[in-house]
Amino acid sequence: MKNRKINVDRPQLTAQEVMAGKDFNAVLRNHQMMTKPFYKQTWFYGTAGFASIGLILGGAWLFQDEPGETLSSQPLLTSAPPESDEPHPQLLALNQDLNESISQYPDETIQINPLKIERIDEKSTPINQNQATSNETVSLEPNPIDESVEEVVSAEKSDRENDVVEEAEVERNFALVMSPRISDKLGGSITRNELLDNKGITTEGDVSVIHFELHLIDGLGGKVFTENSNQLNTEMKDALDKVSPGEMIYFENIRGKVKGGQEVRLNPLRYVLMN
Amino acid sequence: MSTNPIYHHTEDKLLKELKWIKYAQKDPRGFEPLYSKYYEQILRYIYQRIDDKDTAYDITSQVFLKALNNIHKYEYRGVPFASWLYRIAKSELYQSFRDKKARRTVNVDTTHLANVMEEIEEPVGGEIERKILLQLIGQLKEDEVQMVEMRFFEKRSFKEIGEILEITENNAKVKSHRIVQKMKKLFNQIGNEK
Repeated sequence: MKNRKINVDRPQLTAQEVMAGKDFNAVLRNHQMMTKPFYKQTWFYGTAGFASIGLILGGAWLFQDEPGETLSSQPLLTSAPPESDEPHPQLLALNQDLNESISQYPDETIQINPLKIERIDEKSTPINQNQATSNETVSLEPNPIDESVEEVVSAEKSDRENDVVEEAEVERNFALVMSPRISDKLGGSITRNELLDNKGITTEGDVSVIHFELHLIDGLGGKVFTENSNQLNTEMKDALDKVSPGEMIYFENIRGKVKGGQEVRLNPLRYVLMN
Repeated sequence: MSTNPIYHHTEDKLLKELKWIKYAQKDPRGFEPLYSKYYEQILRYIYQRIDDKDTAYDITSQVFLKALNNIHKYEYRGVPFASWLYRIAKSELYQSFRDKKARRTVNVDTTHLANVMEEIEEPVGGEIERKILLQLIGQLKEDEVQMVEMRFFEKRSFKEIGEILEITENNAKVKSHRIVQKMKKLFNQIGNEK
């Protein structure tokens, strides 16, 4: 006889019993939990890999020094125009005309009489003329009023920056204090002993954890365990015993109570089991 | 032999079902019509083979979850979507038996036993014959029991059996015939022993 049981005339499932187990939303939820995020899917690795290789190759090609472009790609250090090996065709034509016109005249020597040389007054320069017409006094000395205004503005600015930094620091500290943790770990890798620590889920602040959910995903689907304290219950511990090292453990929907009795929702936790 | 009206489809219905499948491949929420249509069939198929109701619910959920997770791999081959679900259900069932989450159970109705007796050309008798037949079913191999269950207890057509077991309709007929012959032989053998 094979290891099978034979039932005779067992009552069939009623319509109500059939409907009792029908829950498409549960199937959908489990499916969503099991679905890999896009960054863990093969197509993403492929696309990201090809894009990275493309970028690296493209960058290398762009910044590659070509021998003919060495001089032209260097920045000019002087304001003088760059020398060109080829003569400008227009200039050549002009020079040709000039030589022709010069050759029409006989060679003459210009004589300068030193008595007729006039002294050039410095004030007669166009810049001075412009200054005189505009009647504006330009001073190079710093203005004392401008300086004091600048000082006040810069002091206000630094005060404001300090305030922002302090506020950010306070917010960060508050978030850290309110963050739930197990064995003082806010996430990352965790050992089985640390996980089964008697302290359970704690916070640094005056918040006591009153509820949490443990989400485990195995080969057949996701499982969710709920607990209304900060300690792992027996069912959760049994389930955790079956979790193999390297798998993820999620603590979701963590709720705590602050001093005034007000209920707050805390950040979820995510660990990777080490052993 | 009567046929399963939910399983057997006309060409139009198959194409309509294919549209649902294509929609479910794009959006998992589109799987709901298929789930609603086949949930009861699959649950009954599983419950027919195990003893515990809660385990049947669990395995059924697993079947649909697996189907939803792998819907993108589904290829239409001109047979109802149910045959794909039955194959998943079969593999999930045997996985449960291997993991000892469920115990293999054969559920037999007295009326079905009478059908089997007629098939093996033995007179529909009383308690003794019934006991011999049950003992006989216990001695059959797993694939033979499957065939007996589908053909005589669940009244499936050879076409449907073939699609679920991934064999041809003719092959299903031949296998069924051989099993009937074997049962006849075993029935006489056990009867003579008693």
